[in-house]
Amino acid sequence: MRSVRSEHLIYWVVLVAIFAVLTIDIRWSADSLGEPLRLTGYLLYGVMFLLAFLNVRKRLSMIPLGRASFWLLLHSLGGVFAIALYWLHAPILWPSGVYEQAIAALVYGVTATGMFGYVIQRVYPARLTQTGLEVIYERIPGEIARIRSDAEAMVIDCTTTTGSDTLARHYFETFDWYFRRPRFAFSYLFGGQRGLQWVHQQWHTVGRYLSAQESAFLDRLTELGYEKTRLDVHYALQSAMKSWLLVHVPLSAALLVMATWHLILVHVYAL
Amino acid sequence: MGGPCPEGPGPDGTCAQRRPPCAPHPTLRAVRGRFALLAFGLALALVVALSSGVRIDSIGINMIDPGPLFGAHAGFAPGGNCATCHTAHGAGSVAWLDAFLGGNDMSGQCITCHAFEGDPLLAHNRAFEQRPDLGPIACNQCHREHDGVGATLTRLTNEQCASCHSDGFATFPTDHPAFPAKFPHFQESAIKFDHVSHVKVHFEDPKVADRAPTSCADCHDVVSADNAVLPMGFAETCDGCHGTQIAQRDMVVLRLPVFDANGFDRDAVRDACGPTLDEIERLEEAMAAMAAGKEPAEQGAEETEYESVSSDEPTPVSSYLLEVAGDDTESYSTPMQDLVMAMAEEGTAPLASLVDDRLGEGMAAKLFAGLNPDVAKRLACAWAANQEYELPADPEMGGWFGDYLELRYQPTGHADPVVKAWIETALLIAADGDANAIALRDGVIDAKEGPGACIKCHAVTAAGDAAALTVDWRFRAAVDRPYDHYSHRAHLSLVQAGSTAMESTSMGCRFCHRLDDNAPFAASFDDFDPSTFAANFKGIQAETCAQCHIEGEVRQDCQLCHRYHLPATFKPSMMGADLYQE
Repeated sequence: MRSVRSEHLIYWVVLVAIFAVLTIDIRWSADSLGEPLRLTGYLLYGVMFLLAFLNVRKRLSMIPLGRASFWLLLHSLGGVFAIALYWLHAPILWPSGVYEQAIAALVYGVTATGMFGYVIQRVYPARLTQTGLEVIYERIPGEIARIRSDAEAMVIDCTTTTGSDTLARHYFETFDWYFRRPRFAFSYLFGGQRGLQWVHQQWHTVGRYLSAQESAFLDRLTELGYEKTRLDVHYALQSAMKSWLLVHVPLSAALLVMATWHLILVHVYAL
Repeated sequence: MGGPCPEGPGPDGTCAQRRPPCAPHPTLRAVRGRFALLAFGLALALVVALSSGVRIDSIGINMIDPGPLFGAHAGFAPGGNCATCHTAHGAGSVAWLDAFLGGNDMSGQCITCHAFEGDPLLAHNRAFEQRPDLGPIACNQCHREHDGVGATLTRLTNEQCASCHSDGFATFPTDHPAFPAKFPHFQESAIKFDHVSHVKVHFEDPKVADRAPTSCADCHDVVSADNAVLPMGFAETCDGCHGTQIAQRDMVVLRLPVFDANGFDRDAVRDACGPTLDEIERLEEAMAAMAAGKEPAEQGAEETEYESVSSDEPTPVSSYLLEVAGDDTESYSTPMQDLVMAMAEEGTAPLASLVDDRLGEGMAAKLFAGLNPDVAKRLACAWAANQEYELPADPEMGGWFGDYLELRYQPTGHADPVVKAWIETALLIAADGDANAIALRDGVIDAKEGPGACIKCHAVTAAGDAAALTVDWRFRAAVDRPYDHYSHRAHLSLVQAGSTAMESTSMGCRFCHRLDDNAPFAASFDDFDPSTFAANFKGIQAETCAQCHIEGEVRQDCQLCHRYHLPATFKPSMMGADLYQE
């Protein structure tokens, strides 16, 4: 693990060095008779296609084109390089023409989603491991349904066994809402524990009114709540890890179209 | 269909627990693909809308905004008319394809308005023999547009210069090449004004103390100084001492030469001119004698042997016009006598006709401008009668006058057009190598007499490869180093040029312009070769400039003193010439 990180660090250092040299060269070129915009433009366009090639690499997994992790690293390096190149190419944060604004918005959108994806791919797996649970994303709704079913059955059993409906009424006023679907996703995305607190609070609220026999049922119900919480964490984090590409990839496709048109415009008008 | 229904039938008889039909649920990858396709399509639609001319400019939104144009250019693209410079704009798909594949001739659009004294696309607007490899340079390599109304399009960086001039330049004192020894006095001056003799001798003469300048600014116009500090005109400078000298330098244009025999027909002369004073006197004497009853005296005087009243040769002007040898009496007698006779009969017309035939139509009007035909006739009549012409009164106002045996022209003042015409003509015709023309030229530019006084001050040069000499009538600014520029205006206040005495070398103009007492200034004009010019100022050294132009003090970039282009101008179409064309 340590050697992998060192290797990555070298790549990043190389990237920074290349960018520094390029910046100096472009600065010199801008001051002399060079055409830095042409250089940075073509370079950026090429980097964009290189970045898009990651998607192709995924689809062509049968062809030995190197490890996926290496491609992901290249993609990350290329993404940072691309945004830096963009600012070299268009040294303003927000252009004035609608078309240029559209390109800028796409660049920023793709970059932001890419960075978001990079961060969550780094952070969320560890947090998922911390839950102590492994579950396939598509099976989470089924698991939640199972927990809900178990909870309902247990509450009925409690009422039948103890002759008291205190826990049952409490269940239908609180836990029933909680077990219906994944909850508190936003909190989990940002590392919060709101679901856990909520379950704990419900346990604490009703616990004082229950008999010892009912308390045993409440403890089991609470355990199911905690289990649901872990599933919710999985659902929230896995959803994010899967769905950010729903934004990143379409924005990238649009950006490639717009960049290609920009290249054509430049050739028709200025070169 | 037909299967068990555990919940039993509903009120309508159908199974209460229906199994919904199997509907495939797309994977996230498939959804992503659809989204990507949608985004691709939307972007493509925007592009198509752009290319099909959808415009929202009218509501104040720029669809494509490459940045505002430079202020002076903005007026040529009103309403975002990009086609002024970008020819493919709005010209259809073929033009777009052509521009995409073949490139834009952006420089071609620039030179529809801008012009230079040289090829606009060559480096420095000229071809360099040492660098035949240099190709065309596009305007926009240096001049970047769309940088705003107030952008400085013409400002270059040292690095841009260093793209070709790769010697390396960091600071002026350390890296600028030494100035040439003659810098900046390479070009022969148009006016042969010897600063050394004037400053050190003439201006020190007590006799002219009241007229001599005390400061360089007395003769040089520091107010309008720029690349050159132009000398003021003759009237403001030289006239105080030299003004009266010009009128004293008469030009002898025609002279009655010596003749071996009288070729004039006495009757013809009498018909043209009437009786001479001698004849009238003799007639009066005869009539008086007859009245006294005496016999009139014999008219023997007419029978005496002919003796020419003149003993001189004809002027080079008449020798040239008549194409005769001035030192051969037989050669010039008949043509000269014919000319005099014709002038006696018709005044200036025969002379004008002769000049126009010999020198070209209209030349007589320039060379003999102001010559009174009656004066010419009376002069010719006297000469035809072998008499000296007596001037009725001295020519105080200058101009043409007959004086005994000569037709003279007295300059009316500085820049006299007739004298200038004679000098220019003499220099021009001598180029053919004609002996008479050369003699005429040498006489005209002889500084010791006549109009040669002009040549004492105005340089005569052999211009380029042309055989003819030319006179520099006017002060000319330096043109031999068109890429150099020096702002005198920016420096004059530093040295207090307007108020510093001429003698000072610690301030004033002589802080930089040091007199060179030993330079052969006057002699360098004698060969008419501008390349041998020797200024009577010492060359200026780079160290002089480096006193101030150092890092952190005063600008020292290339463009401060050097220009990239040859002098620039606009094409006539920019001046509105088209407006007046039918």
